Amino acid sequence: MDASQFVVQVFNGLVIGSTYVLVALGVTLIYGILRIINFAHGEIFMLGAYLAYFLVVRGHLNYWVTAGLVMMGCAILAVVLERVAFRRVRGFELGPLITSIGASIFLQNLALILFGGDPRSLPTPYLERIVHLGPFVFSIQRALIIPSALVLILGLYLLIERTTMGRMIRAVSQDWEVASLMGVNPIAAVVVTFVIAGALVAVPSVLVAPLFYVFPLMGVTTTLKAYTIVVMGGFGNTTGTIMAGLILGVAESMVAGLGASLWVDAVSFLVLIAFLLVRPYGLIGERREENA
Amino acid sequence: MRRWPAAWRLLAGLALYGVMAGAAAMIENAYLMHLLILSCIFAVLVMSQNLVTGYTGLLHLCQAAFYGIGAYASALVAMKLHVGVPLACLVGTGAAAASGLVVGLLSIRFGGHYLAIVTLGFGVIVNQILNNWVGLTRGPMGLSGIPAPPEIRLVGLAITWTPYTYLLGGLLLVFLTYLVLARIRDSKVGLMMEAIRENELAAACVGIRTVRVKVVAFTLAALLAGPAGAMYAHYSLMLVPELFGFLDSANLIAMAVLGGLGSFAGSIASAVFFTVVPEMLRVAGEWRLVIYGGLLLLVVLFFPKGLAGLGTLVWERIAGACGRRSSQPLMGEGEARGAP
Amino acid sequence: MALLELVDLTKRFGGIEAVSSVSFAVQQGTITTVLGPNGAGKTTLFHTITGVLRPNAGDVRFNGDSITHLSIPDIVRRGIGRTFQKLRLFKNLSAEQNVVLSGLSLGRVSWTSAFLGTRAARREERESAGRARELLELTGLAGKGAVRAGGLGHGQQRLLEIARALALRPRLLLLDEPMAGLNPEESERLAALILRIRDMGITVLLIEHHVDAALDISDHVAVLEFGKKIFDGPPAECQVDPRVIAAYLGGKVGP
Repeated sequence: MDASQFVVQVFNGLVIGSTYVLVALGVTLIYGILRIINFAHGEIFMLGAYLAYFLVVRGHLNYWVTAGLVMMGCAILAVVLERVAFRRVRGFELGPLITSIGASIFLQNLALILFGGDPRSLPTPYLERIVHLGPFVFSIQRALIIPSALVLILGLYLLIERTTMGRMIRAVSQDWEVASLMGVNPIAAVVVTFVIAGALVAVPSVLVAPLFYVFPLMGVTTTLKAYTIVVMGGFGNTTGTIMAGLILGVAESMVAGLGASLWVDAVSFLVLIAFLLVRPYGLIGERREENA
Repeated sequence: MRRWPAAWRLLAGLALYGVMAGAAAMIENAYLMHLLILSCIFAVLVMSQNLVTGYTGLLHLCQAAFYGIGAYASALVAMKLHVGVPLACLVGTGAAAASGLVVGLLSIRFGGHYLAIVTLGFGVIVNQILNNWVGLTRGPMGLSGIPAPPEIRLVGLAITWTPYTYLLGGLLLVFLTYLVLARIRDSKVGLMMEAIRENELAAACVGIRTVRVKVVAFTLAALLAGPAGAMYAHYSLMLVPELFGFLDSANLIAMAVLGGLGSFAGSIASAVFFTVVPEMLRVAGEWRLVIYGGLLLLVVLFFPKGLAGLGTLVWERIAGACGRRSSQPLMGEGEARGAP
Repeated sequence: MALLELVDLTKRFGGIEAVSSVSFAVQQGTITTVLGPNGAGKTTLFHTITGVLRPNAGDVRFNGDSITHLSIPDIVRRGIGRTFQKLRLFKNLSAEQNVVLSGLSLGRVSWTSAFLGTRAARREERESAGRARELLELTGLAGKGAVRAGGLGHGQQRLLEIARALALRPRLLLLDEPMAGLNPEESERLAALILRIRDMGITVLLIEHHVDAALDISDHVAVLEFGKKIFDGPPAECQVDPRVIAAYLGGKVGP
């Protein structure tokens, strides 16, 4: 691999990494506030992509209008998911894990039935366009992802650190009971978290899905990666998640670039195992101790 | 039934086996027999999933991977090393148990969510290896030509492997697995597992070595998946990687939940019900899974005791109707740990 | 030599010192109470003693040996039992099963023997069950052995936790707010039970909010405020100590 190929692979890695980060951030935020892993997160991604497909291909809507609508759609879907699958089972520790698996299976197969298994391609006005930067050639569709991710991450940071809503979410994430006693409405904080998670994952649906195909099981591998990243970055730790996502994206891209693309998925899990052996609390995480 | 002395229970079990063997002999529908054989295999898998998830309270997402390791290891050893099928099955079991031990030791001490994710990843890696290492496993094209078990020679009779024999073998596997798991459940080991499920910190604070218990439960579940896999391999004589993926693991979890977490009898009932009924009703694959997913949600939300809970309710009603006073009320203060 | 000795014990969370260089000793055969306003660090102290949390600095010595490096089950085996401020019963198990577990987990019978149901295993089960029933009687829960733990009344659940800890045959029993949520009559009975426990030869270390009840039965008191020890002495002096009074009645009543 020569220098220019290397740069391209790093670029691709950052693109993939940004995608993973956006999906993983949703999972991390939900974990932070509910202490559960949302196994159905990938299905929101998948349904967002299908929504984008129908709006663009059948509805002939403008790409950017579609993007906005998909963000709203995913946010709504996330809230519905929370209401149905998570609201009533908080007490039973395994409950939300199982219901989210149930929801995941349900949605995947519903999509299979409604839309059929054939992969569809989602055309966008940017797929064909490329840009030359010196000796490097980049596809615009891919290039759009990195700045979008940056904008969203920045927006998320501002939201969490600077707004009242963000403070509420942080409070409830730290200690549900104390926050309620202090007048915060924890359920509202949870709903907002799901809205954010949904909106975040909508971006990859719209921007990344066109690069591949849209099919009912597309959420599965993406979420598997997201969970790896959440572990790598430290559960509930957003900065760690961002770093881990980008590192994983670049690592995968390098592996693919070296010709071993069949093993790309295995790479992320080997990385996961390596992390468990060496730094189980994530890149930045501290030793989480019992909350007695 | 648990309160009867051991000898009686063993006799009752043998009698039950005899009755089922007799009933099975009357089945003429070859397809039904095939489904029942599969049900036996799934019953073992669901019961072992239940040991970890229902009794110990851990969610692991790779039971199908252990099943696949057992199947492929047994098949490959039989085919490439030309060892007899019984020995191959032992190797398959060992391979499954060993992988369970390694994964368990690596990840259990970090807590439930880690375990869920690591087992998810482990399942993916196993699936990838099965698919991509074409030289060994022939990848997605599948491994065929697996040897069937040899004739059994018993007291001068030679028993060949017909579907009926396979079914008897399957039933025997189910009985043995149930026996092992029931012994664990009734001993202090099972009680410790339940304590961990109920409140892990408190369990540690009464002296239970929680990590050790969890690793044992997990390894045992992997170990039990081994013979199930080996049996599948030497029954269907063909293996494909797509039988052993994440959805299959999720399927097993669904069946365990629907049968009632914490009830091995419920797991058996669930395995049989969900293997036979959808096929007989000719429900297509995706619809079946949609219904599973939906059922999973509904059961966890509204009826967490699953089929076992249903069974207990029916039993209590019958006992009540027969004039016998039910030993404890159904709700509130009541008999703990009642599921068979 | 004191049974339990805390030496400069410190536990930090982020930037806050929940327990700050706390030192005191608990003598064998006594009832010692740890008092302090909410957030003073009392439960954190208990967690650090029992191995739930590792201290950042300082030492915990039990019978002269440092125990801060031990795992929770190992500390339990040294002879320390505890209850929790927020009840942690095995709710879906019966009351008797809750108590029996302590005996079984500390029991000598190997898991394999238990699995096989050997005579030794069955004897261990019988003995543990017998002891469990005795303890249920001692704590006033006689006859409730078969009841699901989660179905018991709040006061009874607190008593059950104590019975469960007693089944560990501890030398030191840590009780974290055992009187929380109890009415005066139940508190009185619990106080009597604690005295009886001491008379059985078990040293008791107690966190309590019901100050009067605790002072009545204590031989020794330590008071924490914002993680620091501000008093260490007999109960009579505690009630008149100006720092203690300020901590409880002064403007700051805990963060």
